[in-house]
Amino acid sequence: MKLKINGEIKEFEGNLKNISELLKALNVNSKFVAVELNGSVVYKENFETTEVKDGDKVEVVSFVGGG
Amino acid sequence: MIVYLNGKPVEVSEGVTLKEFLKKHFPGFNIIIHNTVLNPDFSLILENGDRVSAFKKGEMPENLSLKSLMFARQPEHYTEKLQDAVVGIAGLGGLGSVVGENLVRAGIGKLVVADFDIVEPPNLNRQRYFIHQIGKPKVEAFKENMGQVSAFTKIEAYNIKISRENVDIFKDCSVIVECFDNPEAKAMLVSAVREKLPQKVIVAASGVAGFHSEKTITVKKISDKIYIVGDGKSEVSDGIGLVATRVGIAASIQSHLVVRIILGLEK
Repeated sequence: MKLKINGEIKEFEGNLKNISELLKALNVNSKFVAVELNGSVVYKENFETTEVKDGDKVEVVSFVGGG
Repeated sequence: MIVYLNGKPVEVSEGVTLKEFLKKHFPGFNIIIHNTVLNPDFSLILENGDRVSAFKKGEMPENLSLKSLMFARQPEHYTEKLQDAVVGIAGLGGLGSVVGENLVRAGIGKLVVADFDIVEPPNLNRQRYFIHQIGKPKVEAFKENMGQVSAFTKIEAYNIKISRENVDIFKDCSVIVECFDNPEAKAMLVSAVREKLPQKVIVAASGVAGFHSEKTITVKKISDKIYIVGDGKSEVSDGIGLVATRVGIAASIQSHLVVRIILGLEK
């Protein structure tokens, strides 16, 4: 399936069902990430239940600690 | 024509040199800045709208001319824009205390700052506080310190933990600087601002820990509204730590981005 991640088209093997699976595929810690799906913010409580489909635009901003 | 001396307009006739002007209007000076240039050529002929700053070394200027003298090294049209700006800072630690000081010195008109913590001894290796401020809320210590730097930035301070529910304290800011330490809080702030205040530009930081090369700290533009400063991967962990020099570089880059965004220089 194809998704636009932070403005770049990325191809994923198989079908990713939801944001959680997408983050796993991107190797991103789901606790430390801000996600927008097609322009709407998705909070981490809803990563499992928010479906992604082919062609979706996703913004993924991940963080590490320190400051 | 008009020439500004320490911010005050002075009527001057055409063809007058800097030397003649100063002899007449400020005979006791010994430090001169002409249009941001220190120690200019005294024989230069003044032009309409020129800005001359003059003072006596070591002497406190009168209140009315302090603002003009403080910003004598910045182009005036930039200082004016910065004075009109409101900027939010979420977190006043290693990043936020440096970002805040830089923005106060650059002449931002108003800062809205938030932090729930107090000053503690392990903060002093990188955060801009003093020994006597240990135990004080950081927002209070920050306000106190900035009052010693400048009278030209209003500071609205909140001793609170920022959440989705109270992020609207930043509603009047054009740019919000994410300066937290905790990665969960960093992600929360970005989500909350994107949801509640989607028009704001966010300048966040990620990957500022350790003693890695200064060259690894870069700016990643995620979209028109989100910039991330850091190397994106160096986190606090066993034996890595946080040091003033590297965190300070990231904070200076964050604050410089804010200035450029406000001035319309960041495309």
